Amino acid sequence: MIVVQEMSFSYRRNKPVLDQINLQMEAGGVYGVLGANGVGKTTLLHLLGGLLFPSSGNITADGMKPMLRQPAFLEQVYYVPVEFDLPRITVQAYQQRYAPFYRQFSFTTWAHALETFGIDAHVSLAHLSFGQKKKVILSFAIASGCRILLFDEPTDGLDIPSKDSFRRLLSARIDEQRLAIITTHHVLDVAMLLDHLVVLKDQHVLMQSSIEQLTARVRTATTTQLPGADELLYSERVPGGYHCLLRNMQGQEGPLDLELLFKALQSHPEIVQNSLTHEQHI
Amino acid sequence: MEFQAQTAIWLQIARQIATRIMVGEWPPGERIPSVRELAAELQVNPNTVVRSVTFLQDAGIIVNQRGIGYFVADDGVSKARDLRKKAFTEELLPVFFQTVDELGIQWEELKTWYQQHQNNSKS
Amino acid sequence: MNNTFDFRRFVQVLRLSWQNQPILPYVVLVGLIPLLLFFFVIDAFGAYVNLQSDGPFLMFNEYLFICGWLYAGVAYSELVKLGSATRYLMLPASALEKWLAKSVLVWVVFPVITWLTFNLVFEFFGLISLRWFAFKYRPINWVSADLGISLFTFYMALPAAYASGVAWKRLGILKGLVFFVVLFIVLFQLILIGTGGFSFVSEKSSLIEQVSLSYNNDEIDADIQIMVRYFWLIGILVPSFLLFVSSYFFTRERTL
Repeated sequence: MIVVQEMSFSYRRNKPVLDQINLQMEAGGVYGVLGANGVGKTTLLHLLGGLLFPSSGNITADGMKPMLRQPAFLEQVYYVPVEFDLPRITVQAYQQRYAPFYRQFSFTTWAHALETFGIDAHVSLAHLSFGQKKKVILSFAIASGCRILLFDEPTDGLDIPSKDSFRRLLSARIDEQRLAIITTHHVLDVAMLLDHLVVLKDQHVLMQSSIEQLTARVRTATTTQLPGADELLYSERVPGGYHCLLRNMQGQEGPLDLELLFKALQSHPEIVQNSLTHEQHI
Repeated sequence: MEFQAQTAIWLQIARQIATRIMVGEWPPGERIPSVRELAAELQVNPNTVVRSVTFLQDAGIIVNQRGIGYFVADDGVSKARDLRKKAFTEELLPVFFQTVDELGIQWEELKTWYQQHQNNSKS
Repeated sequence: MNNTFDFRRFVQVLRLSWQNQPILPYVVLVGLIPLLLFFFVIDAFGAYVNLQSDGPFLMFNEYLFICGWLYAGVAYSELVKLGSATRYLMLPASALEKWLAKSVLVWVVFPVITWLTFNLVFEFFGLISLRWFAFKYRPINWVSADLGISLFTFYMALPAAYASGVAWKRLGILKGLVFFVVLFIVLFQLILIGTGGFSFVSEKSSLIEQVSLSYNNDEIDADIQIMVRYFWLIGILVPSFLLFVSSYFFTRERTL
């Protein structure tokens, strides 16, 4: 479990990237962190992983402070960064060198993940493309057994079948003890995996909510005509009609297109206040 | 009017499982795949599948045997059919009839098409 | 499990650091062997009359210095590149274990390897030199003050090496090189002063005579000698030690 309290971070004085944010992330959840470019998604992951230190405020992960980088903390956290640099050794050698540091490392999961991604363990990492290297790191993360998994743009560089593989592998590894945090701007790649959503905007957490709570309040639909203003929160023209974010009038749950929701929140942040956080009257 | 009458993901999954039970993929008394296996297969969050499975259990289509897993109920097939039927009559039919009204289609016309459809599927 | 130091984990980190160590310094280590032999031969031709020379010790010193600089620089540069730094910092081990593992490799293991390689080349030359050049080096006295000075300058150079290695990765190869050259000149000046101060330790020390040619010891009065000696101790030992310690804090406090 991760708790972030009144945490601020700035690279330069008086220019905070994150300003007094509060977050609570429970084990068993898959959290999607969304936000425009440069809003501090990667920075947030670095802070949670102890790679950056908060300028003020607190972060605790399973009761430990990430910035202290205690081994007990580090062996429970695996971070898949966007940029990585791998030694020029075979995939298998990589696993042999690093797996001993993770006591819950699962060799069967590792072998299964590599097979699913179609990676030959005897090939040198130096001869792999960016996407293939990414698959190796993702496989390691999934096999690591860590309780906290941090993914920064996990589907970047993956081809379409590999995105399927990633979703399949990760969904099979999610359980009550594990917390996965995924930052992405390809929401649709991971939408079905998420059960919580965190939206960052202008140095703040604009919204934090479970998908269940969200779908109880809003839904998306494609309509031929624009629905009435009492129901409609945001709309977008699509061929043949409108793609709309609607208030749930009858308390009936519908599908929720997270990409549309994200776009709606970018241009109309007040939706959070008006329709997402307060109890509905109807 | 809304087209693509869609429902929540968990309900879509529940209906899909119901359909698979209806067509006999898992006969009554047989164990259906675990939540984890289903989640992996469908590439969705296991919590979503938990909701679907709970829903199916409440509908009496599957039964939970503690510690072993979920099994198709003895009358699971007919109940699965009921579930699909309910969804059809409550969600698809209204849209269908609304279109029928809009286009002014007569009962006799519909009947002819339906007979044509029956003949096509026989041959 | 102990969060600061756990021996089993330290051994794991040490093993990993050994496995992940840079290859470049070893390439240079081997690549310099022909050059060593070449200088031995030159030395043999120049010194055959009295059948002995003090040359090899100076060569060992420079050999150790060059290879050690490279090794330290490249080994610590792991913390500079974003990708490798992320992997290094996220490795489940304490900063102390990681730093100690690196230090053991940089400060002990690699110097020993360099020393062994040099000895091997030296002994090999010894086998052929008498027959081919009618020349034989007298055996190197590895317990002499020379070795002390040599290792001392080497260890003093290591933190400098680490600093310039980091500068190289961060500023680019050209600026890094300029940084290194400036550092080298400064260090060499310090060594010159330092060895002057050390010359009373041993009267028959080849290294000291070589590097302190500019000194005529009789003309330096005792006060200056003592001053020089203190300067050497404070001027080199202290920053050297500080740099070494700072590399620990660099590991601990490094952020991306």
